[in-house]
Amino acid sequence: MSEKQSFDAANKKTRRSRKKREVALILPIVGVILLLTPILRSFTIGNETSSLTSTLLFIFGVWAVLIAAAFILSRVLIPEIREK
Amino acid sequence: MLSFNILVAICLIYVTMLFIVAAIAEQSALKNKLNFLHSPIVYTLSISVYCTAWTFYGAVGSAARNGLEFLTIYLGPTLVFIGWWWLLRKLVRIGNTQRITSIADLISSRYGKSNLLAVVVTLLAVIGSTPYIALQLQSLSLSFAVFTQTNANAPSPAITAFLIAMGLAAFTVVFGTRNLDANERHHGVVTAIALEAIVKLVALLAVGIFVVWFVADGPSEVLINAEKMLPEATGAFTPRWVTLTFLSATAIICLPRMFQVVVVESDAEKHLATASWAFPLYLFLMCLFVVPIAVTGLEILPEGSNPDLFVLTIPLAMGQESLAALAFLGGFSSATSMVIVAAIALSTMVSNHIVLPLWLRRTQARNPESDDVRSILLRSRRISIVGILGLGYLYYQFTGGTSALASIGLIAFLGVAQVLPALLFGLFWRNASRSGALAGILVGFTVWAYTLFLPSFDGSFILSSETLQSGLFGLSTLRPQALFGINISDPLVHAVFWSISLNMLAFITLSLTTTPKPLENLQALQFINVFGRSSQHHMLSQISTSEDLFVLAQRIVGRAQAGRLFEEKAREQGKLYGLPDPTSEFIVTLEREFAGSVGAATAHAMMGQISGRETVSVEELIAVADETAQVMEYSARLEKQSKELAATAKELRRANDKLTKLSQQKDDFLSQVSHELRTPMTSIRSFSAILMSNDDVDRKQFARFSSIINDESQRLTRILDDILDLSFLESGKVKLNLHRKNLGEMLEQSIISSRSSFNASKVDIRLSEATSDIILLTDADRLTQVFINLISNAIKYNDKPKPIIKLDVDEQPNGVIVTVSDNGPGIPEGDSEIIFEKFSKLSSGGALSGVGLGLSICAEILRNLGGSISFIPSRSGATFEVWIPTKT
Repeated sequence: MSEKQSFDAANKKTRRSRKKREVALILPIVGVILLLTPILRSFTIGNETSSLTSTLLFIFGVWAVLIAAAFILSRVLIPEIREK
Repeated sequence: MLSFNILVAICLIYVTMLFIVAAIAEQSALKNKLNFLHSPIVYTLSISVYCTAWTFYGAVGSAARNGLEFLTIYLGPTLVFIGWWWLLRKLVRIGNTQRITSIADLISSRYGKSNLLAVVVTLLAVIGSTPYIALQLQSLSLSFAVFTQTNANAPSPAITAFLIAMGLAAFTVVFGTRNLDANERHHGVVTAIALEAIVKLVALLAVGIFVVWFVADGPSEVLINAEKMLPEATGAFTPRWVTLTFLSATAIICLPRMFQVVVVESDAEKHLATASWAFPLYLFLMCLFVVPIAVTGLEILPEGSNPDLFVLTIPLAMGQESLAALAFLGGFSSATSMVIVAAIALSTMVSNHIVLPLWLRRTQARNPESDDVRSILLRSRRISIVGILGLGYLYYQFTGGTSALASIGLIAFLGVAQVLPALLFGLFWRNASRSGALAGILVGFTVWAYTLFLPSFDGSFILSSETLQSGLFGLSTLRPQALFGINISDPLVHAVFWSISLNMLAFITLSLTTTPKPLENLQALQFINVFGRSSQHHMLSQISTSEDLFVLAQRIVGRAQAGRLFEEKAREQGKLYGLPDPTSEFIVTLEREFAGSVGAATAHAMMGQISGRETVSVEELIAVADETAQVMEYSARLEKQSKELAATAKELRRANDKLTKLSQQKDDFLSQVSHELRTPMTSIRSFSAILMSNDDVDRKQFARFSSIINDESQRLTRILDDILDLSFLESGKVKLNLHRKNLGEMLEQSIISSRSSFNASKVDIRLSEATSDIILLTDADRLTQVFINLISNAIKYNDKPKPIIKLDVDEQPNGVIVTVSDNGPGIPEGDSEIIFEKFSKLSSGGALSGVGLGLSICAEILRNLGGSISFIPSRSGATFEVWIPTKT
């Protein structure tokens, strides 16, 4: 029983650290989708006010969120770094 | 108005400060007080060398002309940095483990330490960076000109640019080539760059805050103005937007100066974790006020003012001279830091990949240890730095500051971006080959030059304007800005599309069709599995001596460092004094160490020259085989083990069967022995009883009875003798009576004895000739007993009407083989294993008498005599082979 528990715990741990690393892959992909695809123009053009202000705010907003996410991610990933 | 002289004074004070900071950093680096220098903040700030004068002045210009397009230049690096875990971390790890000194070194190292590739990338980098350096000189001289418009005594922009170039060259030479540090780290320069990063950020933020809250009425007014003043089309999410983001993302990895600060100067992957958010944050702050400054500049400054200089001209127009001076200093920092790092990176590449290989070739006939590599390297780096800045100045003079700032920068980006496919595929694709990388880079470079670089001169350089209009040789498919008739309106998008696509096409095609060399395979594995269990301990076998290596090491890394290195290694090998053994592991370490100074290809070539070989053996390749091979080997070993287990199990089963059978035999024998002993006992007892009780036994009967008793007791004695004999022989207590005797005589005697005991006149016993002259030093009685036993068995168990027994003698170099074979029933296959065991009686033995000790006694006797007996399976009859050594 205890053996199974410790096995489960180890399994959970590796799964969690793998997930962290996968999040690291997802972040730039999210960034690319938000910042490079024209689909997002619908967010900015549909707005009543002109496109420049909203585009500007949208980009800076996404940028700030990405930086915050990268900050959190770096805190999470630092323990995963195994330097020689 | 600030006078030119004050401006120069500010610059000089600033540069002096940089000198002092760099010197202090160098000093504390030497004393190992590196706490501050090793902080991730310094690393992050040094990466901001990405923000050049182009950013500082040009971003505002770009915003005023093209709207939000300038943002792409910062979004690309942001995306790369937030994805640091997947690309940058691998690059940094490879950079550290392989002691990479530049981007050219990385590419060359990955593709089998090819120097040709290093030369190509170096040339590409120089060509791509020269316009960029020219751009910095131009922006600096322009910013000087802003302050000196009204001053007739001020020098012309060309002279300003020349003086700046000279000053930068001096600074770079002093701090960039001070020493040949392991891994090419320049702590002084990096610290100075970090300081410059703070200056430019503070300057831009100060101007921005001034503009938003003191010139305009806060952010909302700026935004409303932006709608009116900036171009209608924002440029966001268009093909050009995507292309520019891609280019800037590439630039952060491939530009020589970026590679220098991100990979070469990095000491810890943890710093990268901090930079992953801190550098995007830095870029974010640099961009924050670009639009406000552009909008305000367009609004308040007279029509026709150069938007590239708004950062300076707005404070000046508002009478804020000290703010203008700060802004000027920010621009000055941006330009100088870029030029310094670029010059260091390029000079490293030029000296490692072009000058040193040429020098090596020149000295190939001589001993490579005979010249001081260090002084040659340092000299060539200094000359390279001056040369590179000279080239930049010439380019600046040649183009005369005609184009807008930003366009030169983008052209340079794309030129260097041609390295990207080779770099990325090299990190993740095993089959990426040297020829592929070479072809890809050359094709991409050619397409870049043809479609973007040369057309940027508007027909004044190599390509005429006529060619630009109608294509090379008048072929419209080859029109530089519409290749193959495909019309892509933006020349930059067009050039990016074609150069990168054709580059990748050539790269992949050649990689798939060529076979890489062993060293390439090896390096590919090292790069791709950099996070795995990598060991390169088997790389080069030792051919060189430690003395040769030590001399070479002194030439390359310097006396002190070489001494330290060798001492450390010797201690590691457990030697108290003297040089370490040139183990292959040590040679690999040393080559890495050299690579940190002179680049992988050159280090490899030098080691190859000294050890006399440059190839990789199959064993070395196997030793570093990838995981698949390791798994395969493991499973093969498992399979072998399980096979061994199966064999052992089979053997055990056989032994068990044999034991069972033996135990059965023993039981049988015991009952047999009891029976055998009982039979004579019974007759002795009954006959002696008759003799005892009957007085009227006549003389004749008495004689018969007592003879029976006598015979039976003799038989009894014989059986007991046999058992006793055997136990003696087995315990090894038997005393051998050794003397020389003729083998032939022994055999004849045995035949006679056997015949007499069986009355076997009809048995045909054939003794082979030529046995008379074999003399053996042996116990003749015992040996004769062996032969008698064998012959007797052959007679006793023979069921043929005319039994034939053959005795053959075969003389060997150190012994004799006597073969006894008969034409009897033979021995069943299953019994052949137990016939030499005691008490064994064959299953087919029938009713014939015998206690099954004969053959065991034979085996024991021969064992005592140093010989052996074996049963030879044959189709008819039984054959025994007796081996008797000549010397016992």
